[in-house]
Amino acid sequence: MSIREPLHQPPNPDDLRRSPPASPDCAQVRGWLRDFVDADLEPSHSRELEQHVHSCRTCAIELARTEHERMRLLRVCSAAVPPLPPLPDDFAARLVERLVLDETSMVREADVAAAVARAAEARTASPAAPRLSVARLSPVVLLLGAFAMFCVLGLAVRLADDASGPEGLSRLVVVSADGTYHGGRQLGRGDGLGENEALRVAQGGLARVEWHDASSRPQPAATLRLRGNSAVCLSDGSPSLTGQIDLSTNRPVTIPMADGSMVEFGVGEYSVSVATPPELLGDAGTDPLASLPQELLIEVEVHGGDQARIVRPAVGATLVAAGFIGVWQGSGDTKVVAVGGGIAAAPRDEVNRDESPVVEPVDSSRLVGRVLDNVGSPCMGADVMLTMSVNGGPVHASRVVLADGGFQIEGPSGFTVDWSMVLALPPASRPELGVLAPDVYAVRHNGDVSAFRAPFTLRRSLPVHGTVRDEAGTARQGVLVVPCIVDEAFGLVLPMLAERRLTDVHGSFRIDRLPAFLPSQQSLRLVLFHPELAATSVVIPERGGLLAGVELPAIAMRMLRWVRMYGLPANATVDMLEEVPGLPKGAGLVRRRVATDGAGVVPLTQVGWQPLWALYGGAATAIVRQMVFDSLAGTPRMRPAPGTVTPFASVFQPMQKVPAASLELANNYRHEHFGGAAGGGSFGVTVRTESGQPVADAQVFALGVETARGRRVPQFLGLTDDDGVLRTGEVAGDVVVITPRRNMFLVRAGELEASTEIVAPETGRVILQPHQQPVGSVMEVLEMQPIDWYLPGPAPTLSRCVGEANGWEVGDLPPGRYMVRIGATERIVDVPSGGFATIGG
Amino acid sequence: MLQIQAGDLGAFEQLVRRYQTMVHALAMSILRRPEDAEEATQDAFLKLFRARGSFDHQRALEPWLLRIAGNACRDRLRRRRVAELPGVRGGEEGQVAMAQLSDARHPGAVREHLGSSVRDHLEQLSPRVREPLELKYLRGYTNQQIAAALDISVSNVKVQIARGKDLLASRLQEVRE
Repeated sequence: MSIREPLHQPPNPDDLRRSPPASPDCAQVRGWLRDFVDADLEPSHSRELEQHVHSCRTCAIELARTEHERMRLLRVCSAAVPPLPPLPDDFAARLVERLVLDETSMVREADVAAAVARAAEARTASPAAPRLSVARLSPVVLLLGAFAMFCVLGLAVRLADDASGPEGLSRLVVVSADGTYHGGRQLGRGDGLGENEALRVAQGGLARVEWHDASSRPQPAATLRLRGNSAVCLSDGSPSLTGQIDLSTNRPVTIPMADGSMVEFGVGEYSVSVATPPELLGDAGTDPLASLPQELLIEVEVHGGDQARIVRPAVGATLVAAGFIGVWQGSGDTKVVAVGGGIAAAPRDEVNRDESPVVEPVDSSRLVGRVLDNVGSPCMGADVMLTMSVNGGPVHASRVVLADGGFQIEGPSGFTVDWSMVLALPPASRPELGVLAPDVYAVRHNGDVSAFRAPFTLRRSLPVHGTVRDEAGTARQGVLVVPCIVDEAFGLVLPMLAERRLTDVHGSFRIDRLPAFLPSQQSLRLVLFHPELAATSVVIPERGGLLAGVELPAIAMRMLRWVRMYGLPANATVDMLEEVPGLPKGAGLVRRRVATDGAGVVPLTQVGWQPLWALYGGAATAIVRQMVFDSLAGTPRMRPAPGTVTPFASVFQPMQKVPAASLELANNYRHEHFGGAAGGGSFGVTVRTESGQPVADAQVFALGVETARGRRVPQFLGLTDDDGVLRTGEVAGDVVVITPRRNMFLVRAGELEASTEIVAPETGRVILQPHQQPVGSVMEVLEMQPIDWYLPGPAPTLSRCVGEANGWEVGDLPPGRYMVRIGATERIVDVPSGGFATIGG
Repeated sequence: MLQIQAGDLGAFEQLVRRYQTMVHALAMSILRRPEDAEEATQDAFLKLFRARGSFDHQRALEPWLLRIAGNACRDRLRRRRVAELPGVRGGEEGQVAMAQLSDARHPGAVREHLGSSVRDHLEQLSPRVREPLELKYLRGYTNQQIAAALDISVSNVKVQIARGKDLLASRLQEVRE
């Protein structure tokens, strides 16, 4: 049969019609795109494709479209297909039972009798005698192995009268063994061990052993994975463990530890570490239990599944949940520490765990977490910055992530937090990763240890490439480009000053490490400044999103204009403050200093095109007056608007100077100020979905607090718990709730009661119809302004990038009515809850 | 597998535990009913055990198992169809797929579906198109595994997957418009 393979997934014919390949190379690459995004393309073709899309913008867009298609397909499949119903736990055991019943006729009675005799002989043999090795037996005897299972199922009582037959004995069966011994004899696959027989794994060895207990329930009860310098011995039917052992249980089992304590495991994945003096190992003829010291250091780590219960005669019982480790030594208390806090053993995939750090039980409380990279590996060297509210005051901490991906903050005993603001920066050696933008994360507790619910992931961030030109189309060198996170909901700006760049001789710049994704109602902007040009800003897509790979159009900066000023104080130096376009009100300014003559006139000076304010007086008592044009004829004339003396702080936020530029930007984020009353009090907010489900981890802010300079800033109160509830004390002003599904609500100050219930509808989407999509543009910015904005201050502008790669679609929009601007076109759109509105439909 | 060929039921039970989810996912994709899927999963492993003597050790176990499992599911599907729709014969999936493909080019023909959900769109795809899509993007099967399970070539798997994407894309587009 002749088969012409490999064939690649053919491209969508509609896509080919819409965007025909420009060259044979393009045609070939188009035929590979679907296999490429599915990771099914041969490596040589993948390299060719990657090189091609670097130089071919059309194919790069088609690649982005294909990636979008795949992501949409994943969404559709997962939304449309119900989850796989679980098979019964005993599916395999029942299947074997059915097989035994069906195959009974295959078992000859003579073989059965022989099997019983041989099994009895094996049981009465001396402990040093070789064990039964399944792999080395003849097929006839193996068939009798099947019969032994027949016995276990209770179907062969009539054939074997021996009540203490092999089915009633606990045993260890070696599945795989490397460097594994019993009594000086090397063990191999299929070997079995009985009561009081020990299996030892030499340094560097590895063994996998099944434990079949004496019950008639499905076997094995558990599978043990023993690492180097470990041992297991069956004692009273249960395995006694020494060294480093991973345990995978199929049903609840109880295993006694050598110090007299008991551990009750559920169904799950566990590790047990029992510290043993090295002299014990290699002493093959000795019963390992006899040599074990009473002063053992024991750890029980729960990787996943049911919790483990550690029962110690003099201490009591301790529960250990998934992600935590129970630790005790001698007669000391049982401590519970979280995985990743510098205490956990090395990752499970490592063959040798002998180099894992030694656990030192501590008396202090701690908060621990993990940071992973885009492929889920520990992100060693990342910087994590945390701010927590402790006793009503903020506590700041910064940690470097260790080799196992963990970090921890220690505090005095009893120190606990329910949440923390976290900002994480990738190590300098990983420029391909983006920073984790500041956000608040919930913390769970287990004894004195608190841990974040999930590891933080630093995702891959595509760099931003751009070019800057002036109005004449000339590439401009020396333009300062400052990336900023803009919080549209609260009107805040967080500049990433460490990532600011100057354009090169070609007017080009490149910025790495920007956030791959941002929290709700926030966007990425580049602020551009040059002394000879009007400052501007442009919105750019999140660096991990579908549009991240789309090339930015050239950024145009307008020239400054000449103006004459008058009506200013005579013989004075006055600062002209010009707002930066695109940023929230008062979050950015360019400061230009002018000198007036004896008549309070500035004969000629250059300014930009944005609202302008004249600053008088010192910084503490500064007042500003807005400058207005009174004539545009000839050289335009400006003067202070009459009666507009205003405190600086009522127009501009507190500013931070950008080094080496007369540009100043606000520097704040929504979790900068904490409310001190969270955690209990007279007021409560309960957030539910429309179907009545509680919404956990919704962020709650108060807006009534004024700073010393008269500005109202958001004050973070806390996160809702698993019941969707946050209790808080007296709250001044309105309350804003932001759900994890990116919706926002306002509770007016007067409406907040002992139990205020909020129903959270779903967010909605807006889709741009084909005839509204800009001709020749691969990406466009939708400026969306909510009508009936309910927070104090002017309605924010939500800037969202749309393009082919994301299906010309904007998501995560709180439902409501918006004024939407696309280029010069404006229209009103009603965004429904849980649905979408079309523009141009 | 050597142990299983020698009749070791313990080894067989291990094999069942290892592959039961994979086979069950295949059975659900083909049969769509949990009770049928569980029985087909049992059938598949029983068939494997009974056919263990014919296993060629030079070849990989997994494709062999998937082929047996796919056959078990198709057998059960055939029996179900005979029981439920005595007039229906096998081999019509291709015609359905072609009809749906042409539907997608003529929006009027599918207007009655415009209000239906995404789930309906997936369900309305012919099994020949839907099964590879589901197995690949929901159950994590590789193209080779799908080819073995559905008894088609890898090339055919890719063609069906691409066709399914085209059909879904055009239907979802119609809903938006």
